[in-house]
Amino acid sequence: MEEHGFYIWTAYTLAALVGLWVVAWPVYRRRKFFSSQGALLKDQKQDDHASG
Amino acid sequence: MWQWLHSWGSPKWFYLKSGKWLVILSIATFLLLVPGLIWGLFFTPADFRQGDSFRIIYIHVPAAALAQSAYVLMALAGAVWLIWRMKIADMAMEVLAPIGLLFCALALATGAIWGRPTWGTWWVWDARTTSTFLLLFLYLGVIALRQGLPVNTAGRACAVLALAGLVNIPVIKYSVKWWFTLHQGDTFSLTSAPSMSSEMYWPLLLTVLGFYLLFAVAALLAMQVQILERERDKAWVAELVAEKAQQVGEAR
Repeated sequence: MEEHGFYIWTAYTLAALVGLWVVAWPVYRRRKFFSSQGALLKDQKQDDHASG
Repeated sequence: MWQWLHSWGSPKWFYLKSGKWLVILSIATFLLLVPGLIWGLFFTPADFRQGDSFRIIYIHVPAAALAQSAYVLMALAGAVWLIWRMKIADMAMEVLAPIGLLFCALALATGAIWGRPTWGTWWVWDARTTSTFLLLFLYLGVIALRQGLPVNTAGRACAVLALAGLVNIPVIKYSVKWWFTLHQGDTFSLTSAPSMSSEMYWPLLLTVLGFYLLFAVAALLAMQVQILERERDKAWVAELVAEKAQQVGEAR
């Protein structure tokens, strides 16, 4: 692979980045959704508790 | 059968069922993609004319096939949205566009990287490359409509553009037959015998299947996020959030 190593590894690196991105981005967004909504729920419960 | 298919139209059902499928699909993706890529990169013999640069086909061909398949799927979702107004179809259109765009960009980039040592140039305005380049702009168009139009009209506009752009798919597929092109003929076909030796063909088959499974995993994950965000005011999502918050609390 020494002949075209630069081209091959550039192409495979790009593919790895795309592969990682399409999986990691929705996983991150799902975690973010649950953490933000969970925090909202906690705040709501504290408000409910404070107002009696 | 119809009832089963219809149940997938419910966002709640889709979210809950897709979670189970994600585990199976992720394992299958790993089992096909990793051996396929290692086999293609290190164990297949070099091509007698292209040398080692031919190994780029193990990512270029699956990415190009996926770019077209994702578009067809997006257009089908558009048709379902226009005819039956199923919310899940609109969500599918929204999540498939960026994933398809990324695979289309990957196909174009890896094609250019392969073209430099093989053709002596990064790019030619060949029928196959030009029609694939057009596909990239169709994806961008669908994404731009989604971002730029109000929610109540974006779905319809995206569906119409996706369906109109469908005409480009057979152009991409048959461009190497209809015109005299620098791009080689079909590398991979489900209907005819492979044109390459089995040592080169089997890893390609593994990577093509692996890429399709990776696409399924990515699409299901993105659908889950889309469902959660659009249904955030629904009771079942609130229950799910409470359940998750409790799990996190217990873990701490």
